[in-house]
Amino acid sequence: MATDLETLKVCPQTGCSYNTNGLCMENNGSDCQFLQSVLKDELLVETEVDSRQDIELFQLASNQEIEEINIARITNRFPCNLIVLIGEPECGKSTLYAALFDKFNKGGCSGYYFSGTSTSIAFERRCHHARVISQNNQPKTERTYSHEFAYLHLSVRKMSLSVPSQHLLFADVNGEKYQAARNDDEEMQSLTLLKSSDHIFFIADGELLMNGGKKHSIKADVLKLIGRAIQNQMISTEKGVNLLITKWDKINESKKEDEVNKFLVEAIESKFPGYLKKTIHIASRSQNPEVIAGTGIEDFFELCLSTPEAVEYDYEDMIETLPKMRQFQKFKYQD
Amino acid sequence: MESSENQILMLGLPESGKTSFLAALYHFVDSDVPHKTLSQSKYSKNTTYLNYIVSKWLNCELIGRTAESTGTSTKEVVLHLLDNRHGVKFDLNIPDMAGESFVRQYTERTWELDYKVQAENSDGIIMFINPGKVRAHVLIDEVSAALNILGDDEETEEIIDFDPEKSPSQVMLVDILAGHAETFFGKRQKLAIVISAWDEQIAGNKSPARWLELNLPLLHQYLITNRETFIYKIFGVSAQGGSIVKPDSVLTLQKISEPADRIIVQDEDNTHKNICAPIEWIIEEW
Repeated sequence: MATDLETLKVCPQTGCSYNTNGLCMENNGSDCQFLQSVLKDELLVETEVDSRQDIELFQLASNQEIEEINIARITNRFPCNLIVLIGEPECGKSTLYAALFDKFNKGGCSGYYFSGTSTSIAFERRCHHARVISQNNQPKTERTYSHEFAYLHLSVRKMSLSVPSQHLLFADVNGEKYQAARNDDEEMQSLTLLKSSDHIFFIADGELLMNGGKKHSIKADVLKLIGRAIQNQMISTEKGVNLLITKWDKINESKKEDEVNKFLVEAIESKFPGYLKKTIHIASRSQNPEVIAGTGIEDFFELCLSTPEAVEYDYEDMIETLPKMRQFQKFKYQD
Repeated sequence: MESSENQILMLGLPESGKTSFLAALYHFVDSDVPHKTLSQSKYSKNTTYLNYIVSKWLNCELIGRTAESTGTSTKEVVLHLLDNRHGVKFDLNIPDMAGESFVRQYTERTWELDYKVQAENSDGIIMFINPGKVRAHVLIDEVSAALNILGDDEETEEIIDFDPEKSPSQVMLVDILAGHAETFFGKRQKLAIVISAWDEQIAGNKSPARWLELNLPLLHQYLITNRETFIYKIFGVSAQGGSIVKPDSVLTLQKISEPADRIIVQDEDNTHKNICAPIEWIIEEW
């Protein structure tokens, strides 16, 4: 924690325990932007007036986004499906996460129940601006200024309980990182999680696809990104990629469904034959009575859960063995 | 006969009914209620706190929230009990911890170290939920249509930043339970869920389990899917028996000659007055 003999770094954020045990609430460690340098003497005065200073505390996991370096605390315990969502800033990625989490807040999804999350606060942060409590008048999700690589964790279980919980890790990579990967082989090669992933989704902002001034650059960006990923062997025809077109309620309202499909979907299929596996139309939120809020979320979720080697477990046997089981890391990040 | 010592944790967000339950429980085991299963075998070493909260409860007064003035925010409570069915004596340690401490578990991601030791050594958990204090979440989509019909064109108020302390109750409760599950080291733990102030829900004619399923679906799903971790049962309990805020209700409650008769407990479809039921269920396999 200490940087030199005279000064110390402290965090002024409520709830962060960096000052007491060096654990950063934002998972940024000593590089966190909120840290401030203060003289040691000043710090001593502050800690003396802390009313809880004499209580020994045990630090729980932050339940914020999981940094890549800490991801093994999930992957060492459970087999996980790694899901990568690639999209430009403000394409609707956070809104998608929020809509999925809210599905479980209201009940199950696609025959699955919620069974846990190690990133509840990260999900809640994404849900906040779609809720009345935010006093927002439009259900728009707060844009997240994420780390280059951070993960959201969700575990779910079939309503029949016939199999143990399944774990999903959503790689939440910031849009700027993908912009760089679109333009540079080295940047693309650094996205090794594309190779490790179970499913890759490209997200296109449906509203922008109806904007005559921007739709061409959106299409060009998606095509370049896929093209550079293929060129660097980050994706293969076996795994392929999936396309999510967000804000489908607005496209439907404008009666431009066919136009958008032809403009983007056919262009990808034509340029990269065999790579596009599925296209899902998403309306995470909707004020269009013709398109219900949550459209496409179940399709997205089901695809995230799908694996080629799905195994049915014997439930009674599982009760006996599960606590003793050690799940080995399914994927490892690479430097 | 030697007493064994067992520990039950009481979890719950602020004003969830933990202390009212404890007060009614202490009166119940100490009173002459016939046919009760658990009774007090001897007085605890120090009952100042218990006597204080029971006095408030007997008078149908608000007990107030568990004070945090002691620094540890926990009131140590030990009951010396006799199981009348089997003639077995046991000591029950039920620390009464302020609800704010549980909120901090979620927002600040810390446990007091003493609490961690208690959690690791606990033999069961009672989680309290007060329906009147449940913070639900309402999506803007769900109300926007209604607002459009009403022609609500008020200007938007200032947008409020995310504050984890304002997270929906069920998200917090799941998170708190998941934190405790980490201390079980693979063994299954009994979890009694007490829906408090049940007198206000009983007219709805739903069982406590159904109430939880309808009102806290995320928690309901978590309990179902984590049955290898939690063996759970849901109770509806009104420790006071009615409102202690409305004057008419208070007068009615005060007219009941035996205060323990105020208690309402719903256990699946059975309604009775045995406030020990959640504890009896937890200890039945000890």
